[in-house]
Amino acid sequence: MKLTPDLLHSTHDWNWLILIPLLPLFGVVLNTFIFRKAPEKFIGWFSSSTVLISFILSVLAFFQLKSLPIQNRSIDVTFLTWIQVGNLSIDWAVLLDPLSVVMMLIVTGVGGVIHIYSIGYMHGDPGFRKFFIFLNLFIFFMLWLVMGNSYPILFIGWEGVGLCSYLLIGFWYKDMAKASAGKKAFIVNRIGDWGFLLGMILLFVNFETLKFTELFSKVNTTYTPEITPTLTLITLLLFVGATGKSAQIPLYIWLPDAMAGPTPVSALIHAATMVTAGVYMVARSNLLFSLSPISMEVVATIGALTALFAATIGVRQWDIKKILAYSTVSQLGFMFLGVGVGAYETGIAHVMTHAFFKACLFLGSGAVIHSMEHAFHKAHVHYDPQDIRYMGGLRSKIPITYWTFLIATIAIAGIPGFSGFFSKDEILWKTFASGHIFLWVVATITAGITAFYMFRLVYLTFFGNFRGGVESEGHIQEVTPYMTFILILLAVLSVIGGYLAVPHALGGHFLIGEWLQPVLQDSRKLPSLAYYQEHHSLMLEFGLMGLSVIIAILGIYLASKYFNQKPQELTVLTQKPKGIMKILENKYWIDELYEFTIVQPIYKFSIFAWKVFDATGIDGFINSIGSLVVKIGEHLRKLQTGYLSNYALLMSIGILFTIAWLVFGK
Amino acid sequence: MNSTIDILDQVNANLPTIILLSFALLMLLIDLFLPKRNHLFRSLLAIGSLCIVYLVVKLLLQEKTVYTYFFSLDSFSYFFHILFITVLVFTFLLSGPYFERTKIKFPETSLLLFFSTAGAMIMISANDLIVMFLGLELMSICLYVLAGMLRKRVQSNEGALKYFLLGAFSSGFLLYGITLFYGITGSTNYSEVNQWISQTSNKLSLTFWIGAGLILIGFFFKFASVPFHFWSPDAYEGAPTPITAFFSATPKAAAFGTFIKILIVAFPLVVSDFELILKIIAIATMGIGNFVALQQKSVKRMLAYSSISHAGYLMVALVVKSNLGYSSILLYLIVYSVTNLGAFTIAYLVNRKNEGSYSYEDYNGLATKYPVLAMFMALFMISLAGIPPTGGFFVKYYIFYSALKADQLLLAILMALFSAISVYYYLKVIVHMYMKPLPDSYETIKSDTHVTMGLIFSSLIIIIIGVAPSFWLTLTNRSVSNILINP
Repeated sequence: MKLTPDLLHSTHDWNWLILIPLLPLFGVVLNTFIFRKAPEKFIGWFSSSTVLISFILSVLAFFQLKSLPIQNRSIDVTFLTWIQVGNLSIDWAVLLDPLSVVMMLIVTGVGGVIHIYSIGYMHGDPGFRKFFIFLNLFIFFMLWLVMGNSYPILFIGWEGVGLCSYLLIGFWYKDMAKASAGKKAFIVNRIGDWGFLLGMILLFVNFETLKFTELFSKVNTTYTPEITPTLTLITLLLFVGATGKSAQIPLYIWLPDAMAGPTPVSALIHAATMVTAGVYMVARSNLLFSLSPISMEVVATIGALTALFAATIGVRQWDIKKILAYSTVSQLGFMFLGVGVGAYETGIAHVMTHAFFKACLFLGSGAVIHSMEHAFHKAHVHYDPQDIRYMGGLRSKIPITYWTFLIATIAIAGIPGFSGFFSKDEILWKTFASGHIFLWVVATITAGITAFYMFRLVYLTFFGNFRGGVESEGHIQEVTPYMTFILILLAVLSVIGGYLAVPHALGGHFLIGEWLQPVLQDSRKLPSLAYYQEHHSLMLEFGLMGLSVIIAILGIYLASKYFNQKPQELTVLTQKPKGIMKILENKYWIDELYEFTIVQPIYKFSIFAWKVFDATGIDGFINSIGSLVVKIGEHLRKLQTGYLSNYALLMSIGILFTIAWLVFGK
Repeated sequence: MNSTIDILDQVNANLPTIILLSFALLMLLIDLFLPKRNHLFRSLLAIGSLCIVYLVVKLLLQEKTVYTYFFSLDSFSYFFHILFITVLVFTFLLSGPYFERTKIKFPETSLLLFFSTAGAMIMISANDLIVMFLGLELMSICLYVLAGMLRKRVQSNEGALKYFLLGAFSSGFLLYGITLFYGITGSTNYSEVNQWISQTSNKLSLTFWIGAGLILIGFFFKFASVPFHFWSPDAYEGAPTPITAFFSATPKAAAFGTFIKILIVAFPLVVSDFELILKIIAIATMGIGNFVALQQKSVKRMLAYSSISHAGYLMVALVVKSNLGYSSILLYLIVYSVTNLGAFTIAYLVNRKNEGSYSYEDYNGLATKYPVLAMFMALFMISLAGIPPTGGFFVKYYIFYSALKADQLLLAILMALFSAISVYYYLKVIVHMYMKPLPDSYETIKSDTHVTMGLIFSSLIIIIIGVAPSFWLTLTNRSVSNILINP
């Protein structure tokens, strides 16, 4: 085992860490091969328990790590050397440090509860076992993504979760639209992965290692201003990867379509964990990004613009899950804004709080959809169960779902006291403090819009009168205890989760920021993050905080003004959209733009390449080689006559040649 | 020269072989008292052999090495001993249903398998050409008999006879080469031959080259390399299928291992003179093996030709003559033996209608009826074709890499081309399993738990080597670099 001296100590005590990713894989294997006929409940609980045990082990890892002195909190555990070619050495190794352990807790914790929720949600689905196999496989890859101690291992996880995402979006693959949504996610992500791979290769070419612990200390010690352009290129390429996986401009288009998958999948993969992988990756590479200010600017700008852009689209959507999807894209933009201005710990804090309240929102929407489906089915009407125009007044019918949904909405809207407020406000403050006034304005406006569209969703869904027909109204009922229990749990977390991130200005300690300090210490010393050392007036911070709260309340007020009305006054539901609303309802026609400028040309060129180039040119060539090979085989086969004397003769000729060559050939 | 032979040392140097043979004889006795010659006997054999593997691994870990004039027990011998006995364990596990079907008496067969394994072990640990020859003959004679085990089938008899006659032919050449060597060098000991060569250095006589050539030919025959391969398709086809699997594993590994040892210990100074002839034969072997395998209608015969082509790839690594090349051969032998054992097993399981047809059509729709079996077969085929993430990919890759590193560009390119051809006939099996419809009348496949276990183990080995190849390469590299030469 290789050791980088001062960073690590005693590796052998930590070998049990491999259990954390392997347990979910164990679930995959057993569910695939052994429990083929097992009852639903068993399969569900078995899969859930593998993830929950991983969670317990992650908690254990957290406390063990916490017991170490701060400078020693970076543990590299190498299990096996995987590939060793020339200078390239890739190990199956995990890195346990404050950053990875936070991510492990989020992945296994949120993953575990969503597993349990799914037992209720997927009940009766013919693909029940398949669903849990995929879900466990996802957790396995996601854990490698956050635990791996090198870019290649991270990349394996990165690709693996991409695969699982594809499989789960197209889970009901018999529906053509859902299958092609899966395909879209996969293909768009390929563009991002291409950038990521190039970045990784460039890193290796320049620094000859891809292992985090080695790479970062090497960059830190050998840094000279001359390599800044290279680093800028590398980090921009890595960020291309992040825009794919974390749905940022220009590659965000796959995420809203990904809502075709079962709702627990949307909650787990497309809100809480996988889509935050890009943020994690940037935070993991914080040293590289901090050394290339241009990339930082790009990340922050893209983040802020995506936040605004997606939030405006969310204002005029009718599908409950689509609204949440655009909200996710927007919140991911906030996270990138955070890491882009160098506030990596705040970005990660928002990853965590967002995981709680967005999982709660998605699972809540799942409960709503479940109830609506049930009611429409009983009443034999064919409304879209995800369309909020057919909902309304659900407050009294499904109270648990309503309250949990409301709490999570308050959290995302940024009302003080709830988790989203702390992390989001810290991002806004850091944006301002680092001198990005324009981005701060954009982000603050976005926060207001967020409050608006989220409360629009709440008012239309839970307030007013039911719009889905009289027959269905009586059939609406609360979902099973599996699901409500998880909703309550996540709602509680949406409130208290934020207290890990209370900023200093409010007398808190910003615990998560302090916890992540060891990972970020090298970046902190750089000039690009000098604003951390500057002193800012507390009044200014309070003032800005107050301003953002006022804007959020304004958003809520506007939402209630337009949408909390008597049914007959809700004309907005039936009106044809005009002007800006039309643009928003059509999502700025970005999908159409891509279709027209990219997809169609490529498609037409592919047809040409297929019919002209491939079918006649290459195939003709290959086929003739193929038949040549077959012909050769046919002739050579005749050597095997079956007659012993022929064999002996040919052998003797071989012997003569061999000896002749040895004797005279030199 | 050490003329006083210490008996104890000789025993120590052959400890694994002696343990194995004692166990074989003990089992023959036990068999008399067993009520029925069935599962129990096979389980005992497998468990016993597994214990021996464990013992040998323990000896290896203690780094107990012995060097005598005739034998040496070093990590190189240990590696092959473990490989051979593991092949034996697999053969016992995987052969059950076949022997029940054909009513061949198993205890006798198992004894022959034991003896031929012992022969292979003697070959590997030998330090002397004559001792090596004794091991080779012990192994080969058992193999001739094993090839003809299906006494009532004409093909079996025919294959066995051809194998025997051509084998005798080549043994004659090998022995003649050894005699010539003794005549000019005055010794048959590897190290002494090397000493003699270093003293005479650039004035090597015609007789020396003829002798060396004849020894090479003896090995080429055992590798089944072109044009000395004619025996192998017929013998492979005629032999009972589990025995064919054994053929493709142990004798081939023994021949390659012994050849590597002779190259390293006896011929380090003249090995570059063999380069050209090895190269030509390697190319011919890869070529003929792959081209003709393409034409086969029977899966069993396809696998026979494929094993010729694999010998060609292995010879590429011999041409490279670096430690990397040799250690990749060792790793290749593990993956290849295990994969072949599995593939031949599934071949006989699937071929249940009429003995000896082994047609591709038997595989039609296998994946719908027996998904797990089909998955195993697909894994074996993918590994043989050298597609990641199986061990088969990495071992081929290492040979390819070692060839490139030694500037053998032509060989590397040809190897890549030929293995591209091979993908066709391996994937053909998968196509039949997964893409052809299931025929209407379908007989069930009879298997047993031993076979299932064997298949699971072999797939695990293939996958484990595919996941962590570097680790295994380090192990084989240690075996190759620690050959005891003359301490």
